[in-house]
Amino acid sequence: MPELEQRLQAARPLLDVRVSQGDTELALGRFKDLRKRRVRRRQVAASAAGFVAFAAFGWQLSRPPQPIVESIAPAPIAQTSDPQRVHFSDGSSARLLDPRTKLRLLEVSETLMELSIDTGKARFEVAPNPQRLFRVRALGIRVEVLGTSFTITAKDASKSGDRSMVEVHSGRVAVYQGDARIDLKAGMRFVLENGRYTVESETAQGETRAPQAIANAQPMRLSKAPSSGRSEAPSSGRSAAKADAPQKDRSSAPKVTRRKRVSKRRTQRSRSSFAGRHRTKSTKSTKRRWHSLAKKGQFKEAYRAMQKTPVERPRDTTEELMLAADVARLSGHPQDAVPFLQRVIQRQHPRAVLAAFTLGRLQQKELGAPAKAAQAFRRAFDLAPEGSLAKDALAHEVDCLVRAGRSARATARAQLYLQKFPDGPKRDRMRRLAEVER
Amino acid sequence: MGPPKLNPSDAALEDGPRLRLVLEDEGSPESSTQQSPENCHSFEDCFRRYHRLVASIGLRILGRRSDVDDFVQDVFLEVHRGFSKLRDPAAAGGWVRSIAVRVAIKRLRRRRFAAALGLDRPSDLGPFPVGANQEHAALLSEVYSVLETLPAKSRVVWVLRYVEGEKLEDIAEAAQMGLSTVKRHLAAAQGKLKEVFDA
Repeated sequence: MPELEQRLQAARPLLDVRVSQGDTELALGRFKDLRKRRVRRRQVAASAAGFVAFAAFGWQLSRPPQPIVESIAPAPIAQTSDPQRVHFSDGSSARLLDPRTKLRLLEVSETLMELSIDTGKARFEVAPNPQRLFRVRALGIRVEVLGTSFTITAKDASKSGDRSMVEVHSGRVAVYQGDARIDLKAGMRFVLENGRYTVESETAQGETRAPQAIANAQPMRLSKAPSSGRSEAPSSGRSAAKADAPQKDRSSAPKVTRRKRVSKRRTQRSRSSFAGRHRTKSTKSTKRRWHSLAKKGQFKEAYRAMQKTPVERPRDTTEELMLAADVARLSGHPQDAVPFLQRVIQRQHPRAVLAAFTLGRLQQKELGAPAKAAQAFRRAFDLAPEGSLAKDALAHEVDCLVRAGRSARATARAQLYLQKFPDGPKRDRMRRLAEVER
Repeated sequence: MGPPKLNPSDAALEDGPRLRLVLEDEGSPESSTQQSPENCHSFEDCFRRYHRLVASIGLRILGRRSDVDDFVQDVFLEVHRGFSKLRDPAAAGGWVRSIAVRVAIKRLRRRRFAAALGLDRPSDLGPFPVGANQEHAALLSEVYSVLETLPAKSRVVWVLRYVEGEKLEDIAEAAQMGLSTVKRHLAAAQGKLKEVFDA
């Protein structure tokens, strides 16, 4: 099967495992911890020999893999006395701006780089990578970015109360505090202190600007603060808004009908008016949630997000439709992928061929519908009879026609295969099928 | 020239749960203390040097990304147990590889046993990276679904030959089999795949 071997060699890069030095160090740390646990476990098992060994064997087979990363206590990786820059394997870096900075690496994988800053100050330059989420945790908040530059300051409780601050220099970040999410753009600053947060933005000419981009997925659980002025006169070119969250604050909310309506719905469920005031931004931010989850490879979560509200539905673009089809397929809902693929097939787009081929595979392998699969493969062939998928599409069509009991049609298509691809990998089979009629 | 890289004080792993800080690009010419060691003078050296190799073998033989981490841990547990008996550090590579192959065979047998009892959870070779070639992904999924039906040794031999590209003699050494046994397993696997792909 030399052709299969050649195709395997071409496909081999998909079987590569990317392992950075950080990954290796993390795995080594896990291994040491696992070894200690195994030694302890072996001692317990040895003291109750036969029955425990049998039970442990049976239990070992049935238990799901334990999440190792969560069980490892984060280990400090840097504590320096001079400002230093730390380089990560993906091109991102962190400059430690405080002598007491404690930065920990929590998790490194193909889709996630997660660090924790326990105390101190660090400026992060994150290399854009849509396939990998860069996340930093700091005293009650987490910051997630997809390529940007920002500074996080974390002061622990031993100083003058817990205080976390995030300043964005370029790009965008999402700051999560509990269940709430706040999107920050360049020039914005988020400060969380003693359970209260403020969001500041640099303004031109000292003008006051209302808080922007507060996108709460859930109401924030803040301690009640006394009502104060919503916009303070800027003292240093910055405008500030206190997150007081009293119920009567609605008069300051922007007069947008849509926001108000949604706000009313929200406050029926929540205790804070802040969720309502900025609902539009929240809608806009969750609208793409399935998309960003899918891009990260979290297909099950993406599928759930896609089902939630009509605004989550994929746009009518080829790229989104194909991605939505992948989400449906890879989250275990192959039937739901069919309409997305069919819409792409109807377009005059180069990817229509791939969509037809994928639909054929789906119908053939996962949905058990050989007749429909044959139609899809036929379409893939017709759309690009000289393309790279033509040979396989025609061969699969023949197989599906045979399975669907349409032997006469299968014979005709097998003859076409032999005519067009006399040296094709499935010529022997096609010859046998073509000879049936003779 | 880029900014200076941070070189922490020697916080070796034996000193406690501290990870080395500098996560430099693989293959960077400026890597200093973090390069894979030439020889395995300690278990940690061995782990750092062969971690990627073992993970790759795991994925290619087992065919499930979700199993790779556990597989790596199992292999290095065996390596750790036998490390004190390793006389020639320069020969560690072949030794680790043979352990990896042996552990993979055990895992595959256990998986088939679990599947026979209805305890195994079928899992895909994917997810593949976003933007991966669909045709290649489809081919690999199909190949591995056929490999799933093969006995463990036949599968391992076939993967080492046609995915890893190993020579038969090296496969025999890694799998600790005779050459004729390797050929027999390979023929069995080839026969099965030919049935599907040439059919």
